[in-house]
Parts: sequence; structure tokens; C-alpha cells
Amino acid sequence: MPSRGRQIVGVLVTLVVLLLVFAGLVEGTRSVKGLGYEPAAVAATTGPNISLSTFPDSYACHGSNGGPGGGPHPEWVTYCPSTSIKVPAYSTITVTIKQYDTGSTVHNPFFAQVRGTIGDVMYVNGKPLREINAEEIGHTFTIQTPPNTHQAQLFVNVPLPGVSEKAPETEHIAGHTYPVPNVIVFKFKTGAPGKYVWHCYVPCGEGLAGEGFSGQEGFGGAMATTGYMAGTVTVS
Amino acid sequence: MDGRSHIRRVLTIWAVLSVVFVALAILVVPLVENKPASSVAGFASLTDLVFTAVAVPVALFVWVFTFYSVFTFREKKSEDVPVEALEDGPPLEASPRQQIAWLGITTVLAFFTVGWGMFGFYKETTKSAANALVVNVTGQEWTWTYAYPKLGVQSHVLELPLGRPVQFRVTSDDVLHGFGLAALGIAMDANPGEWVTTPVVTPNKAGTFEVRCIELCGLYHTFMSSQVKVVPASTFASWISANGGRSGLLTSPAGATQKALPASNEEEETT
Repeated sequence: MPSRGRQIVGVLVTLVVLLLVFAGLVEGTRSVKGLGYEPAAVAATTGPNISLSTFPDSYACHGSNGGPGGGPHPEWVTYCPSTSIKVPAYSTITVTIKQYDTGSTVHNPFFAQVRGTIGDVMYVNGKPLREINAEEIGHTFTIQTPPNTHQAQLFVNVPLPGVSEKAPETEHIAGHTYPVPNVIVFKFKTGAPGKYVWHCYVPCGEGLAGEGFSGQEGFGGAMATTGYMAGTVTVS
Repeated sequence: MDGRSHIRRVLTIWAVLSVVFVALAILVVPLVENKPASSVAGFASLTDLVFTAVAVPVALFVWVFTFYSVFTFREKKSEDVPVEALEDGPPLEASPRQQIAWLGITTVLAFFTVGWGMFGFYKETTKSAANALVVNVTGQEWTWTYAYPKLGVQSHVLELPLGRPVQFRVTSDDVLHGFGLAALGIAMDANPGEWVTTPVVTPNKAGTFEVRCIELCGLYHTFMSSQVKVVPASTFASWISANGGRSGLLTSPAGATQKALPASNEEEETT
């Protein structure tokens, strides 16, 4: 190809690439479709009986399922085995959560109350409770209806009591050792099909740029990242 | 062409491009900026404009010299001379005059930016007004709640009287949020468990503006927005009354006589 022709092709290719980059930037900054990163290997949890665990790190969950060494963020707290939960519509859902993490303080004591479960109650190691100490919560499991949607409302808040700092670490999971967990069981009812989100509201995520500033500790990446301390609940 | 000719040529290119792009920046920056509705926001917009206009010649200086050098002084391809035989050009020599000029210009620019921030924003953000309307702002997934503690009103829409100084006290009920009201030049962290106070701002333009969460707060963060309506004082008083508030405690715009208000409203301000 003559030199002039190559130059023209080069200029055109450059323009197309620049156009694509610009279009990608525009689409990326305007898109509200995606809900964020979620490790592909963390499969959906399905059924009327949901079993979850919370860990103080990602070795047990993302290490075995999401990649070697705890996945991209081995030190992040995480729910396990999935944060993508699918449950049937018009059903009673039973959730069992093994809580392996220690406790801390939730800023808003509202989240220390059990709300939206059948009887507004949860069972912690077999003991019925409606509320726990706001200064001893490991995580919360809080399902909410997303904004700007016209689906059936769903709100569930369950505070998970943290295990004692002195609890013996006798549980061996995926080559790592954890304390004996608190086992929390609760039930809630689903309505019409819809898509919901859930969060943990205990400031348990390290690594925020503002770490150390008053009032901002614990709101780092894991708190806002699906696959760790946030996820979806699909009712279908 | 000798070295001085090259310098003259490259400086000419730089000067022409600078004039063109500074003019372009002055035309374009106001188009992409939010329309300011307070003096604080107005100063922020002016800062964007001035800093862009100052940055353009600096960036062009680097780019023009780089590209000119790359294209003018590159070794031409020659079939007679293999690549391995090519030699590097003459080394750069230190020029005290150039070094002094470089340091001097960058020092002046650095002091200019520091001085602009110190004197400009200091003047804007330390204003206080005895009759400032206090609005408590609480963020939570995925809404903003506005409480007027002295007037006994709470709303999900922020309504403000035109010309009346206002101060926001910001907090969060769940996770980190960011209270962003660009039209008034307000951007403040909303931290759970504590109240953060913004500078006093005075809306100087009626209209409807947007409040956005400016701190990634989790899923559906982009949905967390609401409206702020800046309306005449009489309309605001009517709105307060319609929402069951004590509009009799309202003052007229800045400078007017104000009725006595309770010394403390701490109890009312808690959520």
C-alpha cells in the first residue's frame, strides 16, 4: 500500500478509536444499568431456604470460589457463598446465617432492631430476639426496595450479633481458622416478583480514602461492593 | 535554521494556539458549568474559568515544545544508514536564564493558585449572618430529608427563600453520603453519627436546582437526588404554612428585622 494510503488509514483508525473511547466514557459516566462488581465465581443462592455466612476476610469465600488467596481483596469482610440471592415469590423464606465476625457499633440504632421478619423476630443460637446491643453488631442483613421502582415493597433488617473477641477459634474452613459462629435464623415472606437490593449497615469496610477522618471509618470498599457486603435479592 | 529561529517559531506556534484555546475555554467553560445561584457558586465557576484559562497556556507550552521537537529533530529515515549506526543528538546544556525563568513562572503560578484560594474562598466561606436560616439535611438510602428546626417543617424537597442566608447542617442515617448542591456551591460529607456545618450561602437566583449524592454510597447511588426550589420569601412563607410550620417565625430577606427565636434548637434538630 502506498505511504499516503497508510497515513489515511492510520488517521481514520485513530479517529475511530478516539470516538469509541469518548463514547465509552460518555456511556460509562451516564449509565445506571450496572449494579457494580460481583465476582463471577460467586454463584447465586436459590430457594426458599437460604444459607449464608459472614467472614472477617475473604479467604474462606473468595479464596475457594473467587480465586486463589482470597480473590482481589482478601482482607475485605464478606458474605458467603453468594450475595446474589434468588427466592420464590409469594413464599416464606427461611434464612440461616453463620456469623463468624466480631462486633462493632452501628451509628443508627434503628438497624439494631429486627424488622420485616415474621413476628419481627430472629433466633440467635436458638434464642428469640427482637433487638440487640447496637455496639455489638457484626453486620446487618438489610433488604430494601430500590428507588424509583413500582414493585411490591420489601424491607427486612436483621442485625447479626458479633462473636466475642475471646471466642476460641476452632472452626477450620478452606485452610483458615475462625471462631465458633453465632447462628442466626429468621423468616420473611415474599410478595410479587421483583428485584431488591441488600446492604450491611455496620461500618465494617476498611480501606476508604478518608480513613481516619471523624465519622468516616469503616465505610470502605466492601460496604458498597456487590460480592462482599451488598447484593441483590431476586424474587421470581 | 539555527536554534534561535526554532525557538522563535515554536514560541509563535505556542502563542497563537494559546490565544485560540484560551478564547475557546472562555467560551466553553461557562456552557458546561452549573448556572450559579449564589455568590459562593459564582466564585467557584469563576475559579474554574480562570484556572482553565491559566492552565491552557501551561499545557500547550509543554505539548507544543514536545511535538515540535519530536517532529523537527527526529532522525530521518535513511536507507544508507542502518538504525544501529544512528547517534544521539547533542546533550542538553544547562541554561541559568531558562532555569530561572522556569522556576520563576511556576512559582508565580503556584502562589497565584494558593492566593486565589486563600483570599477568594476564605472571603466567601467565612461570611456569617445573624438571621441565617438553618436547614438540617439527613441523607439515607436513597433520599434526602430536609428539616427546618426553627420552623417545624420536614420535607423531601428543599425549598429556600430568595435572598435569605442559609446554613446547612448535614448528617447521615446509614452510610456515607455527600450533600452536593452545585447551584449554591455546596459540597459536604454526610457522615453517620455527626453533624457537619456548611458555610453560609445566600441564594440569589430563583429556580429549581438539583441536589445529588456526591459520595458513592452503595447500590443505586446514582438515584439519590432531589430538588431544591429557590422561591420568593412570600412563597416560602406560604409553603411553610401549608406544611404545618410556624411561618410567623420567618424573617424577611437579609437585613430585615427578625423576630426572636429560641436560643437553642438542639432537641428539635436530632433525628
